Amino acid sequence: MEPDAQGNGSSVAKTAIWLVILVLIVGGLIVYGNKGKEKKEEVVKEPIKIGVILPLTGDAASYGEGARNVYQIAADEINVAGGVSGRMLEFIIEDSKCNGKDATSAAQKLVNVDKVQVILGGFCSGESIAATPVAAEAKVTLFSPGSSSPDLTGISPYFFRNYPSDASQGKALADTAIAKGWKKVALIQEQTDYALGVYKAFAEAFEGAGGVIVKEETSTANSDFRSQLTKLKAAKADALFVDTQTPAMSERIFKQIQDLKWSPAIIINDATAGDVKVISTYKTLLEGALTAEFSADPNNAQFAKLTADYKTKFGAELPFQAYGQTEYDAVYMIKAAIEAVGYNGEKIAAWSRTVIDWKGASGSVTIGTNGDRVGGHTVEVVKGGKIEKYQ
Amino acid sequence: MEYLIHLGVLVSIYAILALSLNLVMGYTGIISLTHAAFFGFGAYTTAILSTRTNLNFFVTVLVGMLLTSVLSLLIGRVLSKFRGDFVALGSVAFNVIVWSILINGGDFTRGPLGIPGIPRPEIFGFSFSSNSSFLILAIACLLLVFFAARFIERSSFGRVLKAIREDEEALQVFGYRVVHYKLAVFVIGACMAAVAGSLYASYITFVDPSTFTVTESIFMISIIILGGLASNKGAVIGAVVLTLLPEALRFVGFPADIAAQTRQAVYGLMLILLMLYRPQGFVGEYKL
Repeated sequence: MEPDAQGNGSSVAKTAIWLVILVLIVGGLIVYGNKGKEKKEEVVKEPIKIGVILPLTGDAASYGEGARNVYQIAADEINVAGGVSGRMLEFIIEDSKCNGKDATSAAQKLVNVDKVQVILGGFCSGESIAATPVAAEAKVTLFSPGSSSPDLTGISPYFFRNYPSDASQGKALADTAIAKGWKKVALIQEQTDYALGVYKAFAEAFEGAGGVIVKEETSTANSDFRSQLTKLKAAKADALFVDTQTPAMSERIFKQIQDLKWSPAIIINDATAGDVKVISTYKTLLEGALTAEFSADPNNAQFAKLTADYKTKFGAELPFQAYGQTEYDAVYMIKAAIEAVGYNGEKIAAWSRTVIDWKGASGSVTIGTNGDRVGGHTVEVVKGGKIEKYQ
Repeated sequence: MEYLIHLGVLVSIYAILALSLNLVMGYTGIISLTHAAFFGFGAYTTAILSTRTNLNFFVTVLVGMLLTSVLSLLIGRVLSKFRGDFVALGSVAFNVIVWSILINGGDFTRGPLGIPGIPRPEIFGFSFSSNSSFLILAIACLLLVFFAARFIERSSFGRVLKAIREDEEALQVFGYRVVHYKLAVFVIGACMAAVAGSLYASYITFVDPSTFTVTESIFMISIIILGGLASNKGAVIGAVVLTLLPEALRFVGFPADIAAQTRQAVYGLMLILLMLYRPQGFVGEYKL
């Protein structure tokens, strides 16, 4: 023990020195880095601070990059036009790496150190779910333009989003099915959360209107659906809803539907509709099939302007357009909120529930009492192996 | 203040992880990259039990430790068949396997969606719902683990562990069943990591598989290497520095469009410099 104790003594001293050096370096960087900022703040009077939580490093960084650029475009436009009630918008951007831990750290910092009243984010659903309790505790609004998990529906009065929940397409599809006069729908559902969420929303709306659903489930590992499909075929339903997690799964089901020499009217979810190859391969079977996606509308003037501005400013096409449109709108919605009720997290959260038919790059935005965007998914139809808007 | 309390909780959780990994890697010399899997296993046990069965948090901690010890015993058995560097490779594989189970667990683990709404701990009607009370709980757990680790290190068992690290064969010649010792410390370390996992789950109130990847295991290894291998104090210091350093860098006013990346780069650079000039870590007594 003796020589050890001596060794410890000197190493403690060395440790202390190293820690002091580390603190000095970081401290120095902080002071040096913030020097320029303070000067700037003298010129521009009291900007409005908006917290931003985005995945800027890690696997989801490509989404974060695009989002930050879109936020910047929107804020620059607002600031050039005179800001919000005469004050400039300023973002404080924190990296959340698409995980709950870093999102809570980022939210804690924004809420307690920067004292922001409203945070844009998170992007990944996991970020938003983890950051919500932090924001709610401090009565700060958390506004996500990218998280789509159904778990976020009604999670807190302080959370809202202008990106629709995955479940919203279920409702859109049910409404169209009812309008088409369908009374009975057969449904094959893969046992995943996403597919389950779509089914639940579909069932709620469809059965609520007096419709009947005959449902069969299948596990992700399954590749033989003949027994389920035979049962569903025997049910003599008006349509068959193929509710899967991946296009590959739908493809196997489509093949076996053909093997059964069955040609029902088909409904597919956006996971399948997003795969161009599957849609064109099974174009005969899928002719007239219904689906619902949350896609950007190139004819929307604001959206067209955003894509053009993005190209001139960053020299690249706007990536992830479905997110770009909601991110752009989010900044303008915050501007509208602050102008209406002031810079106050509690009031902005309450304001969000009053948003009805707000016109933006992503079309008409209405926020429900559960904080979700109402609707959002547009119903589409497959024609000749291509997807078109449903009329 | 809330922010500092939050960081205090994170530091405590990572200090527990570092202390437990240090027993396995620092004292015994088993290079294990499975630690994040045990961390995740504990977190998911608490997440699943407390959201679906209303079991008390402290009961879920015990269940988590029990399940993790069974899992780590199985993994340890297999790893003990490997020699030298292959242990590290094998342990990476096990971390990936556990992660895959979490992400493909269907309704049970809810896959990539994760499990939200995990309640904060409660005991005798007292709820640790405020962050400051949670910090006290986390520090209490940290102290327990710290003294347990110190007790192990100073016991005759601990001396055998250090001997294994120095010369496994020699020890076998003396008639020690080295495998048993290694398995024992592996299981003890995994149990401690499970406690950290339970704390993490109920503190963040949300778990998803992305937190428990091999990268997280590497982060834990960085903590103990930076703090100093085979030193409990070093493990705690490493956890403090590596958790707070990236947070401190949030306050450096880098230009907004490259801030996140620059922070990462500076963080990496600092680690390299520290390793160059202080390869045994802050207070380590043993170099890899």
